[in-house]
Amino acid sequence: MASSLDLGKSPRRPDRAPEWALLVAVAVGGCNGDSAPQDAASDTQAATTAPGTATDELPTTSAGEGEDESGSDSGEPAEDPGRVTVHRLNRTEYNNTVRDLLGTQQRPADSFPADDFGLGFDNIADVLSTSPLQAELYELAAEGLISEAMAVPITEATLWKFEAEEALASVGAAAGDAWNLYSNGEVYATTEIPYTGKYLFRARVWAQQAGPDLAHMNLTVDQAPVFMVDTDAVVNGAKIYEVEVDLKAGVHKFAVEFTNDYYDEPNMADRNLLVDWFSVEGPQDLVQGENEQRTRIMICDPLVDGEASCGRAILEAFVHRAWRRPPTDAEVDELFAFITAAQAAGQDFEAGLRVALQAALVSPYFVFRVELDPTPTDLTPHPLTDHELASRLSYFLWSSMPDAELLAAADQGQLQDPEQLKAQTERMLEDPRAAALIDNFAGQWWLIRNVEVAFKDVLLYPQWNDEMKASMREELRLFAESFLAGDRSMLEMLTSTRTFVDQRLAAHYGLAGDFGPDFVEVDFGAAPFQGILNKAGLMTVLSHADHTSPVKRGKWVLENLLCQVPPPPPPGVDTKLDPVVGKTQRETLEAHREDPKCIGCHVVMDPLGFGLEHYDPLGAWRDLENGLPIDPSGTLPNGSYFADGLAMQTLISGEPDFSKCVARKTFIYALGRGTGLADIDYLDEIVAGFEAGEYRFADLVLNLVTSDVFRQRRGDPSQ
Amino acid sequence: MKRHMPLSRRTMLGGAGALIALPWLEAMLPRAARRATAEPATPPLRALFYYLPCGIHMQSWTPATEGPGYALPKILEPLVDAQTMVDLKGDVLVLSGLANNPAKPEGPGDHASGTSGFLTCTHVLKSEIEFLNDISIDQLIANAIGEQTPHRSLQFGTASGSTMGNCDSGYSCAYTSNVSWADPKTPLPKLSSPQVIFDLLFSGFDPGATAEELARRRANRLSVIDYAGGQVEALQQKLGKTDRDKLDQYLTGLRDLEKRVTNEQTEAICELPAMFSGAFQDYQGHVDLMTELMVLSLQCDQTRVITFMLENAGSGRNYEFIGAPGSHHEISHHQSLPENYAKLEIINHWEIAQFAKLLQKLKNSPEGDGNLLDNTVVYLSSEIADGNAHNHNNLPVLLAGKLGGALSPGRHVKYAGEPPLANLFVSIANAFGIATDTFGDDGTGPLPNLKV
Repeated sequence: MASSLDLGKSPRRPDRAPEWALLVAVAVGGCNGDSAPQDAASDTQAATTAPGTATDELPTTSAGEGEDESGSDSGEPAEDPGRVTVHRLNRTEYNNTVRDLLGTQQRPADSFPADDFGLGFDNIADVLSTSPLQAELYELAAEGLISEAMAVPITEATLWKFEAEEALASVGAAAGDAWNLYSNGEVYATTEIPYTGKYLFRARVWAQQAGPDLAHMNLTVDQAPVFMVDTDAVVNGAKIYEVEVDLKAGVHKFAVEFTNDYYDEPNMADRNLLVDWFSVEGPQDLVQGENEQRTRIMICDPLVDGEASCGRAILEAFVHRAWRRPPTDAEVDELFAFITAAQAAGQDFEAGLRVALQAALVSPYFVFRVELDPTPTDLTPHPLTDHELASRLSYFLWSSMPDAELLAAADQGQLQDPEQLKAQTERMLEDPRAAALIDNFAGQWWLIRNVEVAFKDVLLYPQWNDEMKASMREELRLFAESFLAGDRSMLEMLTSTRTFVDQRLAAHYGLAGDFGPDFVEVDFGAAPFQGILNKAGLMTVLSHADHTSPVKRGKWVLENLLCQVPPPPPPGVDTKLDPVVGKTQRETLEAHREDPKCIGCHVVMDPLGFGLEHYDPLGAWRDLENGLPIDPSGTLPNGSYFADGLAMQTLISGEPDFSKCVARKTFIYALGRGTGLADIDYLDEIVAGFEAGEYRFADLVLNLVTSDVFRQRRGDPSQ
Repeated sequence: MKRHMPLSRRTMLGGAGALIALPWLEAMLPRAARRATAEPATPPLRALFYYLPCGIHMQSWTPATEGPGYALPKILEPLVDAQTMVDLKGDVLVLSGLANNPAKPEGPGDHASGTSGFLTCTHVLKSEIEFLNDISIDQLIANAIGEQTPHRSLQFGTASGSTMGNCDSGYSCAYTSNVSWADPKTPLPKLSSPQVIFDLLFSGFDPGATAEELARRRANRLSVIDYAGGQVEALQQKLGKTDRDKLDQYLTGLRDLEKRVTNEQTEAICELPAMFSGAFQDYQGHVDLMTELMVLSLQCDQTRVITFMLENAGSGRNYEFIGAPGSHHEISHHQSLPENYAKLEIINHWEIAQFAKLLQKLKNSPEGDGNLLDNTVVYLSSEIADGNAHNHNNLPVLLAGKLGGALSPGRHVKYAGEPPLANLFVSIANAFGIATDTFGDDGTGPLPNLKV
């Protein structure tokens, strides 16, 4: 068995390659019964992507290049910081960017097609494609965003009034000046609300009452009730009801709904609701005379400073921020041409300016992060420009555009200095926007985003509901925050007995004490939970609806804590191993070991999952599995023995592969590309710095961003 | 997005969602089509491909007898409803015995391989990060006729993207959430938000705006699109091949958009609601809106090729709202348990009820001497047959519509010898004027007995 590998300090010795290559060798060597992973360590050179072989190494160059990067047997390896393919903003990044650029609350990217993802993340440049409809969605989004941003502030509210007898309805008939809802149904209107804000929704109604109950009326917005009343209004005693609602700018449907139609046969009395009119008025919370978004863009007044000079100034400033770099004079000219064209067509400066601003948001320089090479095909490494570096940094740490301070540092050429780069990084890690790392990095690496869609058998687990999901997610987020925003060693990710619980989770974990609806930090103490692997949310996601999945759990540990990727099952294999009554999961899955086609990989993967069998499909502790005793002992891929899941986690935390894997996951997320053999030396240095910093996440980040692999790039040789 | 609309409009009669399509007249042909066609006007052909996940409970699907006189099995009962005067039995072909062998995966992964091969009949590359498929039948048709409509084709679905992690046993999520493939490496993602779809299709149509306002908006849009396209081309000069290819995807989108905006309809060939609210309260509401929009897209000739995925592959949707609680996917792994059979029957019955609503709306759209359904082919199937066995033969297939006379519906046709599903697509392609004898990995020629 390969013994615990020595992390030597000399980065360029070719024989170091096998350590990292072990990380791919499992994939390449395959898992035949007689060649277990350790033997495959000699197959280092074959680590290219072949059809049907799953590696987690996205080629850093186009296919066929991979072979040339493996300098491990040709003497001195060349320094190759690689390249990142032109990087489209994903949905999260687009929404964050327009929020920071304009100050809008619109989230246009929520309606974009889902991002493709690979290597566990939705920000991998090579994997993100651009659907043909995306262009139109960007264009429409730009129109909506600039329309809101440039809106001249309104000084009074608008009233939309709908006469019910003229409006649309699902049932009923006109009755003079009103609409008679004589059966359950609604009268409604759909209209466009131009500004986000508070609005008053009113209706004037009366009822023909009958029977024991009063007529019931709902006011609904977009099908959701916002006001409900049993109205005692009658003919000649009409009432006006009013409710304040929060509306986002956009199209909304407003309805007055009648819900309890009734006919009192003996008395021949019919209950009906009659609607005279309904109306929407607002925004109620007008900020008189100020549209902050507009003020941000209009840095001068064309009437005072002259249209030519002010127009250019506005465009230069806007594009400087939108494209995350100063525009050239020619680029400003090209945008200013929209203004002159508008005026030539009989429109005004304002109209032309709006079109120019829209155009800036449809430009590839907004939608993509562009990095240039002096010669596109030249493989000579060169530094990124300050602005390219600033974008890499801000999208890594904030999933958004650089802020004014970072942009200014780039403008002044400060970011080429590693000390300045470090200072900015530290500042940005402490900024609230670094919460993006929790939502997007940990959110995907630790599958926090998957908690929402996990499906459980609610007859077996009645505690599984939206509130439980929310609690589980919150614990994971707070746990992530304590590492990503704190000073803790990342190794504690697997060993920490401290966590965050509310009342619900405290009960779930069986913790004694007084808990409320708010989250507090606790120590598990003697309770058998530690680290990320015992987080209820993660265990829940890595289970089936009604039974655990040692295979899913083992695979997750292998891929996400040790960065080893087992290949898919061999062809022709029936992999369904449903639980068998009277046997534990472990016993059932022993079948893996009986079949030589399965054993190679499963002997590595399964034990990691068996170690977690005491945690049920919702992550709660169970002493027995359906009355049968559980054996949580096993070995790591390198042969080290553990007695149970807690010991397993502690053991993994001490493995060099674990810290390397943490570094590698961060690398993949930060750069938006997979790792290749050419990255080994850089990763070694980064990990050395990570270790020297006692495994603080901040140190990992600092070492990563100051590494040449982050600050440099080279061209693309593909033809 | 701004539109100026007068306040009270009575564009709909009788309540929500009832649209009136004007009779199809030659004068109303979209401008592009008017240029293209020189022959006497016949209504154009349309194709709609409808995907159901997790297979079908075949025991309640396959009719016992062949020919026109078969009795409707439980799941297909929604095709006829005496109460609402719906009788779609005569408009539908039930095809049994077809096989999609290329869709068989290596090892597990039938949902991904079946879904990616659903319209391509191609054995795809098993990988989480790369994909390699082939062109799907809807895109083959779109290549032939797509230039005649504002949108070459449209892809809709109720589930937008994929969840994270691998989506099925080592297969990329692109395989489980897309059935339309423009080429081996390009899946076409779906739109699932009804509001976005409506705005996308009809943003140019603004009856309240003056001609001047419309012209101005079009001119502005075109100048923005042209500017962005020029920027992309200039930028591509400075980039290597990988980047250029990536940007080509954006450029294609811009050029398509440019064409669309240039040829934009300002006179209606169909009547649209004054305002459209895409809000829905529950899944049924979402499906109803998507059905409405598909019909609207065809009626208004925005496209003639649509694919629709009612959920993604391996869908875990909970159908408790119709009395079949649990994850659809887990239930479909029925393990021969009667309670699972019962739930599957309920789910599949509901799915066919949604399909029937779509067909009935098409049938209610007058066109030429008949209706829209007469000129359409609507294909419905699932990526596998039995949800437990995961088999790719004896697939559940419905073919609705007459496709301008190329189909003789109203029969159950059972094929012997497991002819490839690809042959059905060859027949459909031929009907659209595409001369080919092959399709996907195993197409050998047209499928017999579709027309009598």
